Amino acid sequence: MWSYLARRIIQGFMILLIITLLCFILTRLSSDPMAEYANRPNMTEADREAIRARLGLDQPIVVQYFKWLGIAAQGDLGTSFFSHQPVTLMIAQRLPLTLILMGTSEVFIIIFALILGLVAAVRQYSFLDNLITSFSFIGFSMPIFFLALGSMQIFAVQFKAWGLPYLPTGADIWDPKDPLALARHLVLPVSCLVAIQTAGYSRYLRSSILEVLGMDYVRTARSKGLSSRSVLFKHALRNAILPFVTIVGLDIPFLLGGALVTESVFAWPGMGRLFWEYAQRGDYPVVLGVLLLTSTAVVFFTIVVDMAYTLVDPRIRLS
Amino acid sequence: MNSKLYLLLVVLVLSSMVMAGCAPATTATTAPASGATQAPAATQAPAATTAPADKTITIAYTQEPDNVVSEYSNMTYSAWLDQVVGASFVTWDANNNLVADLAAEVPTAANGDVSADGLTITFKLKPNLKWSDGQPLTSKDILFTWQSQVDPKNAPISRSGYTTITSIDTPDDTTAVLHFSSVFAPWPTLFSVGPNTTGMLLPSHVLQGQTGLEKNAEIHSPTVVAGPYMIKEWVAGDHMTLVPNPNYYGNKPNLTQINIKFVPDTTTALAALKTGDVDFVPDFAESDIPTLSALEPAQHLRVDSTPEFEHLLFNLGITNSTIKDSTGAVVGNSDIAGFCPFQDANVRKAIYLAIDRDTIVKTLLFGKTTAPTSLWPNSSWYNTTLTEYPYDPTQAGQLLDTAGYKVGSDGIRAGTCNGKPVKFSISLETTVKQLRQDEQAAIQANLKQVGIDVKTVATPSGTFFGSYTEGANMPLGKFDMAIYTTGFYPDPDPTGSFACANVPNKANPSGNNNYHYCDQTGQMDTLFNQGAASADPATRKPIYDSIQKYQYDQALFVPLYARANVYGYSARLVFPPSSGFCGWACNMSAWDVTK
Repeated sequence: MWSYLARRIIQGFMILLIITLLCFILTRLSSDPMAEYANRPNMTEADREAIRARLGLDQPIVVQYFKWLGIAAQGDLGTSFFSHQPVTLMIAQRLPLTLILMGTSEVFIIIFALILGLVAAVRQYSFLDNLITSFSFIGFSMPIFFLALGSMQIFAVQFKAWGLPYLPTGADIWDPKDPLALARHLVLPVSCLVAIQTAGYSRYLRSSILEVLGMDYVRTARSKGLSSRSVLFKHALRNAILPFVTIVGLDIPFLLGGALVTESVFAWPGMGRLFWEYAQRGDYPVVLGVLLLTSTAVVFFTIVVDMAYTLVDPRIRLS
Repeated sequence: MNSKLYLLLVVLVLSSMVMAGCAPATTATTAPASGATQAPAATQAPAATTAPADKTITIAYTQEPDNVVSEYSNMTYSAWLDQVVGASFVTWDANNNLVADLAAEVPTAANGDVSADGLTITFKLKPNLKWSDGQPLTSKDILFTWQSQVDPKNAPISRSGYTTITSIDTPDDTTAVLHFSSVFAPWPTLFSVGPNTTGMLLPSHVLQGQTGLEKNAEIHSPTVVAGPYMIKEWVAGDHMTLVPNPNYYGNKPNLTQINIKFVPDTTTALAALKTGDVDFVPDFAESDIPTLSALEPAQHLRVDSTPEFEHLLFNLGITNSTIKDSTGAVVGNSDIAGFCPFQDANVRKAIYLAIDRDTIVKTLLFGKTTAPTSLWPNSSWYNTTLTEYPYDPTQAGQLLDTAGYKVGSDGIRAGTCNGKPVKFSISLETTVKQLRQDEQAAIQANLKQVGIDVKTVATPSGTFFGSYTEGANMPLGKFDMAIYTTGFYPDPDPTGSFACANVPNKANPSGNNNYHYCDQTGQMDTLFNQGAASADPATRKPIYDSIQKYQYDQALFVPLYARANVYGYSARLVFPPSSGFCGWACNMSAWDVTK
């Protein structure tokens, strides 16, 4: 097991190396950090050359990457090209807020997915199942920006116009005079994320439960005369939930990356926005910093989930 | 197994909650306000009998400034903040007149503060000026700001102008005598806050002796300022709070607090304006004009036509390096030649005449701005004697016929240029902005009428404006025609984008002459040099008039429309007129609310 773990960790580092290299190349090709200085009237050629040299953009692209890698290997993500702030600080400022948004959403998503998946599976092909299925597909296929802007239009703009209590549109989430401001600001973005992402989980859980309900041991349990509640919760659900746990586990690291569109629409100061705002300007220390954090988390959680799986499933043995 | 399974589920779910729950409640980078900055409410009350009115407004910024001190930022959003918290030596009023800010008087030749040769300018500060922390603001701060700008250990965005200062004498606390190595005509942009100016005066008592200022916390979010407001709090990505500076020299600002929310999506900003969550949005797009008009009377729309303008430019590059202008400068210094017929002024005029600019303004800009005739519209530098090129496709066709380019059987003009066959099937490149793509479509249809086939290209702005070394099309000259906006400096001088020396090429990759134009008569360079050789506006004005006349006669580019700043604001906000030179944030101490 230890050799397996060591192998996985080495693999993980290789994956991170490839990810950062690919992201570096993509960022460098898609946006030029010098572009925004091109038409500034009070800058001279000398000014532009000085900036290029300071940012190291006058060096070959391979050198630029390895320089960044050299710094990153020491646990320092460098400084932003534009704000000159340490990237670790910029991430530290945004990460808690992203985790609040994404963590809250994830909890609600799991709760709703469990309830909906279970109901839909137990009442297969019933009106309720069809209703849940329909709403799942609507949620699943709805573009998040549409849902986000639409809900803002109704629950903020129209509610205000109708004289009803209305939800905030976004930003200014830390209002010292109003401790509930954060919670109020969470309502719309969390609802949108839940509406869209519950669908996938609940569909997955439904089919997983249905599969288990058709198993011999469930039939045996039923034939023993156990109540259907007991069969469902003690025998079926416990087994059906295993693949669901894997999916949830693998999704957790993505919470760190934030939700780009949701954060932008609701002006939520999270990681997705940080990434997008600086990616547009070609600020690759920030872009790679965010990517390195999320991809490290993905690699780490993948290993953790795989290891945990061996603990809960006796059929899996590592060699 | 089941207990382990539950354990795993609980661990996974809890881990996400713990990550969220353990998060600190706030990441506020609150600036420690000194005792002096916390002005007691009583001192602000106009009279003892009336309670201090809460005059708080909220502004939505679609981008968060990277640094507030704009010496170290290229963002317009930084410049806007810099204008609110910083102070300038001189500034511009709503009519674009140069007026004193921290200055006791505007230096002029008449009052003897600008020497006859323009090489010595005496800056006289108002007496008893103070920084927000109560420390005196003196000529030492002017000296320090200059020193920090030219210090190689600091990395400001631009040293333009500051490098022409050879020394600064500070005979007393209110006098700074600036000695220049050569005339720097746009000297008012030095020590000045605003878009394209250099940035605020820096406090020497706070920053003296420090280097690497670009990384300094006082540059990122200054706590000691001289402008009407100061930063009370900045929560990264979320909001910023400004409060009046009790030591501001000028009239006490009317507003008691300014909240700036960072709202990246203009649709959200519009929703926030409608709900009253924000009072002012400074950067709506031109396409938002009808939406904002429909909000009256609860919210107002204001459109300010600016000195910046959108223009269609031709690639005038020549690669033959044996061609020199009258001053000996190599004309053929572009790496890639432009479309050969564009070297003929009549062809350029024909394209100018074939584009229906008025319809573009009426339909795409809702008639809220104008199509100018030359550089620097809506400013005192604008040449008002030039008459507009009319929309005249017939005359355009005749000019092209005379130039030898006849319409072929496929409806596209063709002919020979410098002995080589050419066909008028040319590219028109711009950014992916919707308005620009609409302009492209309109121009494509216009030019089709005169037998010119236009292929439209839309490139993301990060690549469109990219640099030579990154292989971007503009500096490399890989385009026939392009559309973008010329930036405006509150001075006509140092644009340099028509100078032979600034044509980007392998030897000069940072050149900003995207026209790839080098005047073979040498006249353009000569005129610009003459304009920059005097610090006296009255002497310079006729020279810049000649420049505009020359460019107009040569049809060097087609001005499409003066860019419009589109503001949306709540009915409670008193939003006084502002100058195109200085921008909306220039006179915020005069802003007010009605309720």
